[in-house]
Amino acid sequence: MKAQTMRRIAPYLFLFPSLLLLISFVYAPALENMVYSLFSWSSVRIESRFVGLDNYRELFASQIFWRALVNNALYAVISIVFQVFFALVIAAVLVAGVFGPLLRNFFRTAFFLPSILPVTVVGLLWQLIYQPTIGLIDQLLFATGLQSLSHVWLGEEATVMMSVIMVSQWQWTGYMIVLFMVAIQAIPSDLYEALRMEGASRIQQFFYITVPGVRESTLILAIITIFGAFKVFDIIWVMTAGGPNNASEVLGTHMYRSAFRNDVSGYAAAVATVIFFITLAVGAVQIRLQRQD
Amino acid sequence: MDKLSRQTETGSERAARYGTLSLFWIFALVSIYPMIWLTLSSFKSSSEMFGNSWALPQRWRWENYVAAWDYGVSQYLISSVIVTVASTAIIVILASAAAYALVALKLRGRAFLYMAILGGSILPPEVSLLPLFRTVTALGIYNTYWALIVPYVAFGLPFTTFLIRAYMVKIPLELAEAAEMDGAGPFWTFWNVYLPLSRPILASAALISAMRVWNEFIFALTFVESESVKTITIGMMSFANALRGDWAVMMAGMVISVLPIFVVFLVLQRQFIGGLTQGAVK
Amino acid sequence: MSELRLQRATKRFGNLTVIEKLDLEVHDREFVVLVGPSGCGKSTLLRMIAGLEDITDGDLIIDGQRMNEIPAARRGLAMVFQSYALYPHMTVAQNMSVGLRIAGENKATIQNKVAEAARILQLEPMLDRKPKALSGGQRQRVAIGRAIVRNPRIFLFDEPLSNLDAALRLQMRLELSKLHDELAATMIYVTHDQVEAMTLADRIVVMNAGRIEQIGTPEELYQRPANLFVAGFIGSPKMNLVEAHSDGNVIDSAIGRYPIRVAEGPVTLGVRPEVIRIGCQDCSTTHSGHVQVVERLGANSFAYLDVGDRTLLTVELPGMTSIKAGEDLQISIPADKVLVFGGNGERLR
Repeated sequence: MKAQTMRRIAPYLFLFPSLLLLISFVYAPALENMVYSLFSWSSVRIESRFVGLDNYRELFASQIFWRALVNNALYAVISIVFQVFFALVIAAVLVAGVFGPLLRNFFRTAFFLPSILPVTVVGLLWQLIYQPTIGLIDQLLFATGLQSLSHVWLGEEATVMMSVIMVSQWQWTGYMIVLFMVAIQAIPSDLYEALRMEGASRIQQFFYITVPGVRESTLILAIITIFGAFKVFDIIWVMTAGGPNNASEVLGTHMYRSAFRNDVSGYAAAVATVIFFITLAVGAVQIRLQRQD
Repeated sequence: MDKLSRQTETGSERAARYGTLSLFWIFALVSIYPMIWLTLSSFKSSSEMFGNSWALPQRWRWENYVAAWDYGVSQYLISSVIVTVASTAIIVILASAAAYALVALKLRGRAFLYMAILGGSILPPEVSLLPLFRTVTALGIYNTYWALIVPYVAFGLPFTTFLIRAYMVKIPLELAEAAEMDGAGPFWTFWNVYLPLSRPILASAALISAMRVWNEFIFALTFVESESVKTITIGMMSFANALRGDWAVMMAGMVISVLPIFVVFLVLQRQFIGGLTQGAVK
Repeated sequence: MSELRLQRATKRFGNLTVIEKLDLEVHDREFVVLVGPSGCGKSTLLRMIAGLEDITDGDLIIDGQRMNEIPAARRGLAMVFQSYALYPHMTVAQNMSVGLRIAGENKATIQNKVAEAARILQLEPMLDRKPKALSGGQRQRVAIGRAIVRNPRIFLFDEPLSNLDAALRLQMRLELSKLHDELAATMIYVTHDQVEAMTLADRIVVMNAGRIEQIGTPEELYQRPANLFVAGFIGSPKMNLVEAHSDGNVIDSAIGRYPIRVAEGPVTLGVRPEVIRIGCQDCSTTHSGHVQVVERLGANSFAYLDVGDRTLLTVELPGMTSIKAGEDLQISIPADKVLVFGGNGERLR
């Protein structure tokens, strides 16, 4: 009888540790966070006070919050352009055999390499590259007589956000290229051969076969990209910490500063809740797509 | 076939091909030159670094590396290795056990349980950060390796389980049934059939988990504060702040922090990319 | 002694009933084949016997003991799977000895049993190879060897030959027959291939839609199918089935009038291709048909005759026949070889 019971519960024993960890350290905190957002409290004062939706009212009245949201959206749009559209084209060219296999592998590895770097290294490295006058970019501009284009890239409100976003593109576009290459390679080659028999050019092949062939993968990768854009934190924290003057603030940095620098935890929790609902919407779509296999 | 098409290409086609080629070389240069520059600069003196940005070092200053190492990079590296190895090992063991149960065992509510695990992947760490900070403090593990390992495992499980499950689904269920007929329990079948047959994906899963843990930022920034526990991603921040001005040594430290993952990547590139792509592309 | 009985065995998946109140007895040393079209429940039935599927309702009794709650491994059964289910990372010897090792047998015993099975199946030179290095037939034998070493009360086979090519299938069929005699074991064998069923079985169980249509020896099923389903399923080429009408005394059809007395109403006549004679032998029932296609197989040939009334008749002819498509042919059918099925499909005569 004991063996019988054991047989019935054994399958759940395999899942138990994972579920326990997920519930205690992922799901429960996410829910707790929503509760926190209804209170006014801080780590120095023990007591907390129920304030209903006050934190949200404050949040939606805050200019920094809206600025952060716009920055996240900008981040998403630029990332889609580079990491989805641009990456798809590059991947298609690499797969199409325009170059020999050796050169193709070299390009693939070269594009992919930045994605394995820790974000701190990327951030610090590009801080140096963006240095006014002595940084690589300004040196390049001066050398080519374009010094009028020079900026204090990370120090001016007008340029800081784009500068940081471009670093992200530098780091992740190659990664997406590799993912797209795999998706394109999964398209049966006889489709291309059939179209080539009809005399289609490479560009026609791209639009008639490659694009429809990777439609679903593209959708998933686009969602992953948007997802990443709304939870971005690290690269910005390393490079600018949201400055100057909140010009490069995103929801993640806004939340972090509120929680761990300004000690307005209820407000921070409200920001986190907004991030939660945005990513939940995006993520729900992703899981639905991924489950279709 | 490529040869053939090359022989028959017209002049404009050839121009297009060379145009594409030069464009790709430029992209590749943009992609890797910053890393080359980082490496070269790490051997220069700080003044030489900006004064002679594009040149090779006048002298290869290995002492930059010694300085960086002694300045604390060694300690960060040790912390990173400990946290990464421990987290990766636990993630892979738990995820493969969960994946095995989801694939090969009789479960009630299998779809729900799978979603319960997979759902964790859509929760960004920011959302749980504040309560997690309190949990970690309450458990008394704040500022210890466990403050990193436990959350890393929890947040690493969904994707890793997804990855391993996708592989295990392809193992014929008849193998598990044959084992059952032979008197094997679920643990035997897991250990002697599913794990050995999943070795390729376990390698990929371990690599990806290790890379994610090694590069993780926000938890490492929040849950530890002593230099002796900081992992290298966060350690580099304090390191850089302390060394503002001594750029070359800082860059040497950066190279050191990249080196382990770089070497692993170059050696195991195939498993690396294989695993990443299996997760994201159908 | 190894006897198996199923009593009112039922299997439901949710609301879907796959097996409904099924009774079956398998006797000691009997080779029983479960045959039926795909989806008829034969594999599910085998898996219920094996213990891989729970039995929703009813009893499974082996040698007098109720087995419903006994785990698969302790029912004393061994199963050969369709895909062989060999562990790719283990050698042949390791594959065959898994069950013994789990049971904690000592090394010497394991070695003896594996060696014995390898001898019976001529696998001795392959014991240290991995399955990947074996041919399909060899893998099949390893799967059987794995069953043999466990010395089971009953062997279960789930479509074991369906992954082999035609020539190998024939050879393995013969080997299985030999093995059955050699081991004097009770075997239950699932297949969708009625030729396998006819050649291997002591008794055949024809299943359809979760029910048993008929149980009997190959000859019984062939000569006296219980109903239209069995008549159509057993035999290759298929039995000719011709719509007809009975007026109580005579049956009238496109292939002639037969003085067979069955109740008035629509009936179906069943005629095996080999009982149809060419020319006028018993000229009372002679009928003519137009040859549409002739297939020559060597030892015999088949002609497909249009006998009017949109009825196509298969006729077996000896040797490489000289009859050609387009000819008109006289045929006669001995009335005593004609089977008659009633409107409900049951055989009346």
